[in-house]
Amino acid sequence: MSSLVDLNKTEGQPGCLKVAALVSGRLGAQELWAIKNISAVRCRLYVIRATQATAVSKYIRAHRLIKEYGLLRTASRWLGGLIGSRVAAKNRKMLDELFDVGALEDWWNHSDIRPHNVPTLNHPDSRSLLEELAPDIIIRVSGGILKPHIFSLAKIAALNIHHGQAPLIRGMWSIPWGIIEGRPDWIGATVHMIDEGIDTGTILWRGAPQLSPGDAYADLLFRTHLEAVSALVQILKIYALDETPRPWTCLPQEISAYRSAPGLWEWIKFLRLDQGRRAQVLIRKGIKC
Amino acid sequence: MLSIVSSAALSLLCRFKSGGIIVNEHTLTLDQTRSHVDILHRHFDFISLAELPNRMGLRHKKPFCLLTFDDGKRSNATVTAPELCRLGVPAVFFVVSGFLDGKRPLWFDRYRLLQEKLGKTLPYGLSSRIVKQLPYDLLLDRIDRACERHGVQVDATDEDICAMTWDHARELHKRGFIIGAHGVTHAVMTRETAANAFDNISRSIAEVSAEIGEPCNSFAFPNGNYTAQLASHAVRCGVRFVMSTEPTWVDQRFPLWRLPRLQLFGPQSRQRIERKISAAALGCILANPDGTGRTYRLVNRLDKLTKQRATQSSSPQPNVATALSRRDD
Repeated sequence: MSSLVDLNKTEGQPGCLKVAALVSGRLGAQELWAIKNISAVRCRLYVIRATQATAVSKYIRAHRLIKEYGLLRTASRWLGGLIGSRVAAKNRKMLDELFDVGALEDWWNHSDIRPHNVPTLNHPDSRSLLEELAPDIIIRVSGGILKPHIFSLAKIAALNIHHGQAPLIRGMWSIPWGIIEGRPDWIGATVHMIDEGIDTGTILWRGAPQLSPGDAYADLLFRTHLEAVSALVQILKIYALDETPRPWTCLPQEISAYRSAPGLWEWIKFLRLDQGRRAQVLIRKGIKC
Repeated sequence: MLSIVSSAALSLLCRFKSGGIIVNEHTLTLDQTRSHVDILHRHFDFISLAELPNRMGLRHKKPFCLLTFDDGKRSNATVTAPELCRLGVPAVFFVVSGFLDGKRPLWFDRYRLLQEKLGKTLPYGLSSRIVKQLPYDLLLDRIDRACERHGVQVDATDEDICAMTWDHARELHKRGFIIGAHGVTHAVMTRETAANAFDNISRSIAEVSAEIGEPCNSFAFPNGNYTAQLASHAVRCGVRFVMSTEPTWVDQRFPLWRLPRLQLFGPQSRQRIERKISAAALGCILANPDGTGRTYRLVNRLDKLTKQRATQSSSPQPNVATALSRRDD
């Protein structure tokens, strides 16, 4: 365990949490921001990084998608992804600058944290590593859906930041879905426990940034992530005091929706709305309704 | 030639357009104050804030102009206000309450110095499109670090940078100028959490009221970015007039909680000022300096549509008796 780092040199002190942060692929600005803030909590932090997003081959994935969504919808998703990749790259660049990824990388390089690389987050290697570390809290910082044999290894809780207001909106790309479908109540973030469903676990915090005319997706994601990470840190502090955070009470009339990856039509609509700048859902925030 | 055209265009507009303009200035030298007053006076009547609601809906010989100054820099009190007083021009001074009496310059003055020193090679994470997207704490932290790294120091004696004192503000108030609130810090309110923004707005209004000894009745959003929710909060805190930086003329279509202001700067020439005011009259050409471009056009369009729908749905349906009597006639 030579590469495990006790960030705050608090090992053995009462209330010192063992936290495993799970990431997948490149450590981008969002991930580094989360890790840096988590590390500020009195805890032993382990970073487990998956070198690849999934072990499933492209062919099998395509086969599964066609089976689940049909050929047309799968083709639409593929085309959408093709268009979206350029936009996503631009947004990633914008987010890097908003989070000041240079300073974050500098912090990361000087922090002595060395990630444990595993093939994928659900890989048996990941499981055995987690068994060895026996973390109190597992936090899914990025990557795909965690399987029960991974998230159940947390002694206290496995947590996730979902960039959307669960249970109102679950799944991926929730903020753009909120923009496209004119649902301001979807835009925001949720810190929840991980269970077998997708974004269905007990909610510990839910919030949203201010929505204002002229905002675009990257701005909203940035502000949402800031608020969500700060809420996650508060939750970790509660756990560090050996207390349990109170679950968030959702209104009984809330209807849950699930959205997956966007198709071609959704991408076109999203781009026509100038990624939110021309969306009524945001423009409306400038007038009294 | 261009000067004649821009002047003629503005004169023509002033003849036919109702309403007027609210001008948003920051710091002016003595000459600039005289020059701006002179240019504006050719086409507009200067009015006070109290006259604004009445003038917005009425057509006068000349459209109106309300002068406002943001931030509360010392030169506002020592240079501009005495000259305005001498010329008999009313104005509103929006002060950043946490800046007054303090020694710490506002963030954008330090940012400007960084820009001047480093040119286009601004530190990563501090480019002009990014800075106004950041919450205040994050922004200050980045500017502090950059200023320290590049040895940028602000001249604290420069009256265009340092703050006026509360004594100055009280003196301005005594002379008949209006002191409005402009936030406790110069944070872009829409980038903060809602709780922080609400607190910032209410504290600044309360501080101005307490220091001036009279309820503060106006608030201007720092950098101009606003939402209806934030403006409503300011109104709940007791203000009547809330100002943004939408670069358009003002008339009765605008509610008092969302008053557009046209930004002018000291060194701008007469031609440029006249061109800008003419362009603002069209209500769709100029970009909002708050960084949202021309989104205000969409806001205004949606506002108009919403009002039209509300009027249609609230207009009484003719009842059967009325319809029959009309047919009889």
